[in-house]
Amino acid sequence: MADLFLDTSVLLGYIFPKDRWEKNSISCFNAPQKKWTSSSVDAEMQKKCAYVRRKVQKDLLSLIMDLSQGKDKPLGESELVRIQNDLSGSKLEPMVMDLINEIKTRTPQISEACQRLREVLRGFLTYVQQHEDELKNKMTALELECWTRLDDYTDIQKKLAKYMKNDDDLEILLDAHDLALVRQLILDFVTADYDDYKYFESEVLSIVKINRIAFLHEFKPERVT
Amino acid sequence: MSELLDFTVYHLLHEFDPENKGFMPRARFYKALYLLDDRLKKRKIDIALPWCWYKFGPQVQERFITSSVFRLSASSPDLNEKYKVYFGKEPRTKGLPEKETAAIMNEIRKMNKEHLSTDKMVELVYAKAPRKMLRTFKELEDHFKNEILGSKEISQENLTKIVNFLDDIQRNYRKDEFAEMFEEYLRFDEALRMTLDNFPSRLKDINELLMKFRELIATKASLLFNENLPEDWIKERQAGLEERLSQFRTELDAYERTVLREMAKDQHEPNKHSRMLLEIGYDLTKEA
Repeated sequence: MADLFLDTSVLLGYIFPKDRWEKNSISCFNAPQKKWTSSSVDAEMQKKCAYVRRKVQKDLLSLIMDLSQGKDKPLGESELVRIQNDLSGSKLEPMVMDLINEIKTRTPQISEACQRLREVLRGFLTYVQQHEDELKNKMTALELECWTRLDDYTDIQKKLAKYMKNDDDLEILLDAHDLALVRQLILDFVTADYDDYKYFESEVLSIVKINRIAFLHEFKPERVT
Repeated sequence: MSELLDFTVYHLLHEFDPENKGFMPRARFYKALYLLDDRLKKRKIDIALPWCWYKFGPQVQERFITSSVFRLSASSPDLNEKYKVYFGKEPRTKGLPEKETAAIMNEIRKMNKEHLSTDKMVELVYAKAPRKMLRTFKELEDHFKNEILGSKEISQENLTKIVNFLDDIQRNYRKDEFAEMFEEYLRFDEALRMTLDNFPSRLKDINELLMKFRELIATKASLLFNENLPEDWIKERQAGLEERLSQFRTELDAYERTVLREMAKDQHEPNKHSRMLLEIGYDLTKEA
């Protein structure tokens, strides 16, 4: 049975659940195989989590601040226009509008709408924190073992650079390669980033010592190679 | 350095404390000089006072005043002892415009006769705070010091007051001027509100962050609202601000995580909209 190497997208799928990714991410963690990740994955995950947290916090709290500028009064048309303007083009817009539409029929005070937005944000941040901690705990308990590569593999890096656009992705593939080589493992590389690998899967596999690239959306934990 | 400034500093100290007994604490000296400068400006006299707005109102930068005209010392070796300011060697008056020196002496004597207490001076200078939010931040910090830190149980009235201070700051925060710490402001404000809503008994834990954030705001204020200070001084302060802002971010992160971990203990499944936000979060990871 191959060991699993989980890349950043799988870990992020666990922290930020979305549709089927969530279920598949969880099934990855529950799979009977030994699970690995790497310090590059951990660093990228932390960087991305921090970015998302800050971005969501800033956008929502700015909106709350904007809405709270005047005297407290029932939420009216002018506030709805302001919300739409503030969030125009933002990914947060559908969520905020859904919430506002849900409460606007009973014309709540602006302060109440703001408090609801704060609760949504807090629910989000709490979940993210909890799941970041859970991943850290899994790493500490070696349930998800974190590998640190020492070799640069300059030659392999050059070959991979032809196919891999993203430096972080490249470093992570090298981590998996190094792990498989040093520990003499049969290793499946699990990723949710189908688009990054689908065109060059065979080329990449001919360069690195990875058994196969398993895409999260079709991941079957029980599959034995 | 301005000779009129030397003249003003010496005579203010001499008038207020003629026997040099240490009746002029440093903070009182700053406020008295600032108020005097303000009155002199109205008479079109510019003494070129080097000052900036800081945590407790105007702060005079003594290092840009001729050192012989005043003396600064603590009255005991205890480091917590507040500094006092004494007059030094009388500066020469030869060559100074008589009309202006007479007007300065007149204003100094008038002010001395008013017997303004330091509290009254604080009130007068804070009425001139360049931005309302600077005053409210100070009031919030004072509220913590007076009503929160020493209390075993915090009354609802005192909790409501904190919310009112926060709302007031939120309405008056100047995004254009205090842009570099705007994100930290939003996060700090929310961290404090989360503490109020979930763990009011832990408010004391956030006091240190409050003091540090107010210091950041005050440092930025000193860069925005100052007079007669050299470019090097501005650059030095700016560099210090950036360093402290970065330290503050780390401490705010740690505090936020502690509060969120506590909140996670009582949280069940995220509600529909938090769930939507988590899905959006996944898409946003692609941007990072």
